[in-house]
Amino acid sequence: MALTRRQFARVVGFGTFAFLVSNERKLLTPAQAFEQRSAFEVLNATEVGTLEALSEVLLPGSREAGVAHFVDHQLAAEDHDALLMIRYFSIPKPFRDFYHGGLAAVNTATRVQFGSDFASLELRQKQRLVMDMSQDAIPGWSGPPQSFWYFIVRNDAIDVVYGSVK
Amino acid sequence: MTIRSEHVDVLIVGAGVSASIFAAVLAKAGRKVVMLEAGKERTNAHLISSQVFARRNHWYGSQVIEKGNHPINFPMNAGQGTGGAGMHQDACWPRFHIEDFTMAHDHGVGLDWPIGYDDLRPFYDRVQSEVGISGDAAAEVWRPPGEPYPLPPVNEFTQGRLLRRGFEALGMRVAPVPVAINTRPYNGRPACLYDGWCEAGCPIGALANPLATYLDAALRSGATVRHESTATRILTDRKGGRVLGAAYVDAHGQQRTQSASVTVLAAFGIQNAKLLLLSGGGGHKNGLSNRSGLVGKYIMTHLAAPIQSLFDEPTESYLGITAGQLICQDDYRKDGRGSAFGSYQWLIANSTKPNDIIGLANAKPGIFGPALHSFLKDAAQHYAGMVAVIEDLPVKTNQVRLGSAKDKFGIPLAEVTHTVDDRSLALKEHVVEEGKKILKAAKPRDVWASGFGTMHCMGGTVMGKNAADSVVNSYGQSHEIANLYIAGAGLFPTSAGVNPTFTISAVSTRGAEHLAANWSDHV
Repeated sequence: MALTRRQFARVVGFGTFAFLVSNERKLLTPAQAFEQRSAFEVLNATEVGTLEALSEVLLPGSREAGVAHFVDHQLAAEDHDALLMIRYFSIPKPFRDFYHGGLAAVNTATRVQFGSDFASLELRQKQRLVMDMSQDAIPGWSGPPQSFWYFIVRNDAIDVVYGSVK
Repeated sequence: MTIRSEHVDVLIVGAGVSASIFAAVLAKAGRKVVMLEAGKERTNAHLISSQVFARRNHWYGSQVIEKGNHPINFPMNAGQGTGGAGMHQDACWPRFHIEDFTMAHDHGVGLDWPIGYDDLRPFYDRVQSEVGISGDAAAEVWRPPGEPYPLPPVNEFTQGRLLRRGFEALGMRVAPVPVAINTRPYNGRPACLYDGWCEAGCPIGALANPLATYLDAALRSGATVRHESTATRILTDRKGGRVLGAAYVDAHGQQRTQSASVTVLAAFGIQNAKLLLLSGGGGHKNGLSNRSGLVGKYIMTHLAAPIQSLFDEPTESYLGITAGQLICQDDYRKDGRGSAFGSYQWLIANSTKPNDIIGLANAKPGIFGPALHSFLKDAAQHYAGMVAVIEDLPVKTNQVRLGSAKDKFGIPLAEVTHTVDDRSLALKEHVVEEGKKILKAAKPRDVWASGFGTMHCMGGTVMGKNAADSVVNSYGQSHEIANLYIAGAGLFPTSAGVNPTFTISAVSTRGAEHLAANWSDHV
């Protein structure tokens, strides 16, 4: 069966990783892992929902490109194999603590401001919050530095959508 | 239980640029050489041309705690695994200038090297012939005296041509950037493809990283590398007069010791300083080879200031190499700019990909949402940029210390404090204004500067003439312990305004050859 151009790009664009689908490891791109609903190993359902919602505001299309699957997979990886942008910075390991803290901080902030989790907000509210986050302007934030958290998640989204392997 | 390995002539901690040179020189001289590398083994087959996969070339070991107003971003600059930080270098290899060696003498600022350019010149010339540097020495009018480059310069693509016109409009000179990248097949290595994935490590070997050059030579001469072997202490005799080798933990968690007649610390400046600080005892109260109190001091980096633009014309900014296509050192002087002090250069028309820390998306970090897609679509066709490499003055309080927290091996984490001197910050301000002026003169439709970062890491075990004001001599030999050498950019008393790897290579070659030629003095 001939692949459509979009399907082909999904297969070769980013590189494949061993995602868990129906208890079996399969080599998939993050986009394929999203399509096939591969299991998450580090992030819980709320965290996945928050990460996808946040990434989608930062870069539309990143959810379908598998940003949450990629991040989750990398948070479960060995240190030497890790591919996330956060690896460039002197953040204490395990990096999953940074992501747990950041995702929790997002929802704590939105519950205070809007009475609900980030994923449930209207787009306009999400965009406003992300703008404030980028400028360290969310009051009462308790997590990794806001603008740094914004930088990291934004780059994760960009990696899955625009990153490529030659 | 600790397992002891058979005694060797030379133990080298590290497997990066300087370690590989010491290993190659000494193994070729018939010495039995063992290298301890904390990271995993890496071959060309592991190198994947991708900004994402390139991250595997960076540090992933024990956390380095960073303090100060301008952290050096240790994991970004350091490496781990075969080849060390040399595997993610951009291979931009200009020489230090004559005045970089005598800053204290000339200006009363910073430190002096115990050697001058003329002492290093023959080693610059030899290294460039061995690894192959591409450039145009005649066009590089600021270059100190030396042999012409063995290879023709890198290609100039559209991005370079567009930015060149900005320099020329202001009467400034540019030259092809000198790089340790083959523009033709050379010494058994192919020519560059200009795909701009340099930081991923060049799987074809066109870029002169350690796998392609000195480490390969070292292994062919009989040196061995023990991977996943983390040095935990440098061992000395009871009085601390001689280094006996090192204690380390191997890939299986087994404690081992490796004895050697000579030990070379080449594990990157910060890790070298950390090892010395935690290896005190006997006659070395404050850490090994630290009676001067200077181990860990004078940590330096380079300020990296990008200037970015969008042109109406297509720019093909994805083509070329990460180091750029052109270089300008027209204003390399140290002073004469008010409160600003230091040297800098422009690296012009860097190959740019959509993602990663120096990617197109981070050229406008505040943009998100659909606007980010629009910007990337525009930038992919019309972006052009350059980066200034700006000197960081040696400041004694910019230092490595042992932290209170420990790593999985039970040894203290390194704590690095770094704050840029006001004179270097003033230089950065000056440089950014100049950069915007230059790009505007090239007539783009938009010009901006998106902040600054840091690149490279120098200092921590500076060289000098005297034991009172330095840690090692000009060969990297400890002032206090004859059979202990330190290698790498940690020896640099000044950072200069150019990339360090060519100078690391020249200094290391000189040090290694001195050790080889005077072997009996050390054992």
